[in-house]
Amino acid sequence: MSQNQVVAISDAESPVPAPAAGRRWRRALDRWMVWWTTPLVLVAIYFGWKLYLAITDLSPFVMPTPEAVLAALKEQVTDPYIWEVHVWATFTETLSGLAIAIAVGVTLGFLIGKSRILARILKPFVVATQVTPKVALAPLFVLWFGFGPGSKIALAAIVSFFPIMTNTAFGVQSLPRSTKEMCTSVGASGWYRFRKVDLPHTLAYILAGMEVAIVLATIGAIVGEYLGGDKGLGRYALNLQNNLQIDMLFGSIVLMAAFGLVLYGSVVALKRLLIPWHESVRALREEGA
Amino acid sequence: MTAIHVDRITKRFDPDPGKAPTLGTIDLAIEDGEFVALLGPSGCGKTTLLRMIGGLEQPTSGQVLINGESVSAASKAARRRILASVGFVFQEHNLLPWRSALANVAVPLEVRGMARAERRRVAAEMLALVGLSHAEGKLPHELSGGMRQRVAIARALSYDPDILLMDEPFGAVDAQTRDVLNLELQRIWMRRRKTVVFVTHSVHEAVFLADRVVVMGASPGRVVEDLRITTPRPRSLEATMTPEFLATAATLRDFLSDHFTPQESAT
Repeated sequence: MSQNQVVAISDAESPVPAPAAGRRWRRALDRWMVWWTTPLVLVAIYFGWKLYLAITDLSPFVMPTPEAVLAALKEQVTDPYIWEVHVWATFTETLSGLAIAIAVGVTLGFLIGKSRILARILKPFVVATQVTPKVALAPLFVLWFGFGPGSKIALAAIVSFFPIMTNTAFGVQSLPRSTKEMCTSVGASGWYRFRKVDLPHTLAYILAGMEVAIVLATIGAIVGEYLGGDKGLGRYALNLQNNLQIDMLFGSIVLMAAFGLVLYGSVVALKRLLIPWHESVRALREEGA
Repeated sequence: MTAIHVDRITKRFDPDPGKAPTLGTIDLAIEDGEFVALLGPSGCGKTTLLRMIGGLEQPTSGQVLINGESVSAASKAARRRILASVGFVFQEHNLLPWRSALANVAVPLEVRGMARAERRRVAAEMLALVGLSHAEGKLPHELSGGMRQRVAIARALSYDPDILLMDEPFGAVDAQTRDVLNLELQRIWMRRRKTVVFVTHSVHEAVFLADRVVVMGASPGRVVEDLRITTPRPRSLEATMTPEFLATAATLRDFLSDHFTPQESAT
């Protein structure tokens, strides 16, 4: 073994070698691919849609043309009433529901994750709330919380707390045994471990649960609106259907999809902000996505 | 003075009395400032012994005394007080992935309620001691395996314990890096003079680092040899090529193979 070799090895201690030029190129290609494939697929859908209408000659009350939908969507997007009343209502209901789901889900998740006895006691009830079809609860919620935002918030909360709770419990239990032993060996109290080790470790799992929960909360709020009340994107869509404004109905569905996408994107952004150290976020960063 | 007294302890994980206990009766006195290597094949219970000294495992019978006080019999609060003078370096680095190197080193200081500025100062000093001043702000995933293990050592030293327990700390790094880290550890030890108990299954590492090598055999785990290494310090890597070093290593290898059980391998 030569002296040079030893030097080379200790140099190799410097972390993460830069990727080879070829691989970087391919990675860049992967990264930008979505920017040209998405428009391409959209164009294909447009022509498929047109073609279908031309062949079947469907009534515009059943299936409007893409142009009519775009025109309707444009009208909706520029109408401040839609934003100030319907989008805002759904937005506040969804976020309030999610906030309750986080509070309840994280608390229950920690209890279940930390204590085997509590897990035994609580599990059957938690599972019972999940196997019950939540839509069946909606009339009850209307009865209890009225036609206002209360019933929608309750529905959003109950459909979205489950993934947060299970993820939190899983996160608490997945703290490596060796990390716990490290805490013991440096003399950390249970309270210190909870604040400085369990919580940051579990945050990654809570955020993963929130990714699913935000989508479910949106659905919960919109389903709640369908069942009663006078505001929100769900109510708006129902009105359009009753008025047979099918092009507008299509537009409102696009709005709801965009709404969900923005909320989901915010959770992903939050994840990058709060847990930049986590494996999943690092992988995203390395892809450059 | 005796820093660690392992007083006739046994450890049995499997309650079946037909099987040999993990550790038979072990009696061991380790003096203040001594560097002791626990050497043995995997499965001989050397890690279990170390974990019992560090209070992470309870002996089935007998007790461990640290500076004359029993760890095994103590209440939770008393045990925490006694173990405050013990630092543990694990096989895995066990760094918190969301904390920078500096903040990781500061964990035990934070636990002890040290003020923020003081904490930063001491942690920075410790990182300098292990040669990682340039990596203070780096997260664990940005460090190499060897660097992470050095941060872990800095963390264990940060609260200035009298005793340092090390469980194959360099087991996961490549041989060359391991040589570098062993040199480093010797340098740190010569500056800080802790009592060190170092678990390894490498004869080479044991002879290079230790004042005293305790060789263990398996089923039941027991001490089969207790050997002094008198090679003067600082020892260089060249010192591992001398006839004395090689002769000592050969002796230890003989002891290991005499107590070799077929399903285990002694490297």
